[in-house]
Amino acid sequence: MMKILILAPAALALWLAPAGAPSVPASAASAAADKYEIDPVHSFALFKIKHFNLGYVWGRINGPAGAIVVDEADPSKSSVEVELKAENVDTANEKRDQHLKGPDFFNAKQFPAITFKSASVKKTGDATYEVTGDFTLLGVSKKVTATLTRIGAGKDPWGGTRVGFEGSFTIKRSEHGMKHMLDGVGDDVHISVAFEGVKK
Amino acid sequence: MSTPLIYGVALPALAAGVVWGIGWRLWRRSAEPMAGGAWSGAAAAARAGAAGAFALWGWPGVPPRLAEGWLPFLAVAGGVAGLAANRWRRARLPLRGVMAALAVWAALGPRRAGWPAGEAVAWHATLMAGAFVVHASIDRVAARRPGPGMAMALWVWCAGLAGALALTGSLKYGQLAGLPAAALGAAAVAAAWKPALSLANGTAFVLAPWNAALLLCGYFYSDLPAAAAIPLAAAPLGLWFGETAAVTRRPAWAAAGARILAVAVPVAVGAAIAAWPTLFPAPGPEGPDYDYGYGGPIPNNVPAHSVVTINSQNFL
Repeated sequence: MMKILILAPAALALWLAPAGAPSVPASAASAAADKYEIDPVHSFALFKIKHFNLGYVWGRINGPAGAIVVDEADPSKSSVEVELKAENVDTANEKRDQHLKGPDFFNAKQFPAITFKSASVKKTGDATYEVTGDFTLLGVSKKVTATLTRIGAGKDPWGGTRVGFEGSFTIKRSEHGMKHMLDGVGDDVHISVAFEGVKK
Repeated sequence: MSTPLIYGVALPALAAGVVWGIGWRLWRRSAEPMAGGAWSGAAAAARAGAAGAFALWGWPGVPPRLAEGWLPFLAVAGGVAGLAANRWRRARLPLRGVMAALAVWAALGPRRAGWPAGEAVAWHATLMAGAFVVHASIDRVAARRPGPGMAMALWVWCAGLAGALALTGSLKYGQLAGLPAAALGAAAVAAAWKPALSLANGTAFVLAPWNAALLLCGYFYSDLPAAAAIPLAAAPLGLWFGETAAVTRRPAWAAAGARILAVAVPVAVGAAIAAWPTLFPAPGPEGPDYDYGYGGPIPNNVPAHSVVTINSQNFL
């Protein structure tokens, strides 16, 4: 209880801090590339896909993991690596999730990991980056480009340093060999990610 | 929906039927009466499996990324092995062993790395032995019993397997099991016309490894439970029931019926175990599942304004 009372004001302060205003001194951040580990509890990978061409089904893949390197001085040296477990797909319907995890879609037992590994990072604005890399699904890697926005950076109540990003990109599932029910379930999969990294 | 029917049923049935037809034409001219019929069985089944799989899912790559991607190659290898077995009697036993090994090796590819060496060897050896016994049983009984009864018994096996796989998490696996079923359907019709048609030492070189690999894929990568996979895998052993004295002394049609029934019973048991959770789902903590696009009834408590009528024009 005492711990909660101590931490609550700090958490509130962090919550109220203006987004995009890093509390880490810029000089410290730019001195060298900062390495962050993705916090799976505060990170999200969402997807939406057309259903019968008349609506969207949304889902998420829980517990993203990975690492981010942020180099303020030379953004091209920054990198992002994200790994998702296909077994963690969650569309709020157990029956559908079971089918999605099976051989018709994610084939989670044969291909447990879905990964993204950046190849290049380009700063395109004050807080925006164009990240190009390999997105691997069902063992097939395809180049994708995601626009990432840096939401903010700062200290957390536990003394750690965090940075947060969000972004989105689109893939064609058929290009990865996921061709089941293409007439009823769309080919384009819109993926949105929001992740926090904890400095190592 | 028409594409899976065309590529998954009509194409393999037609592909098999054409090869069988050519086989018979050559068989008529052959000095060895069964030579043509048997070689065409291997070629027909191989062509049906490969054609259907390529048409439905395209080129799987070399080596295939997916365990099931090996199936068309397995069909081609089985076709070649069947032709060789048909030509060289002494090669039959080792070729059955090779096909059982290939089927198990291909199906367990993605799973193999997760096993310690000893466990991997035990799994492979046991499953290869099982696949070999099933294959040999089909060949032995089919050699004694030409005609449509044999094709129908094996069709029941493939159709049951297709249903079980489709209901346990993978329509794709169900369609793959349907490919040899379509070829066997064509064989049953053809054998009704030409009762001397034999499926021995040819067809089974494609059929047995194909189904063995699919059963393993269903068990290891989908949700086919072991309690369903075992009777489904062992179903062709029921053919031996038709070789007992009590059956063989019956009229031919009754004996053929008994063989079909002896295969159908374990198939029905396996399919029922597999289908049970899908057909009779236990209500979840949040009440009945709000359908999942499979055309189930919309619950009564859904407000009328949230029900949308969809016609086929909306789909595309």
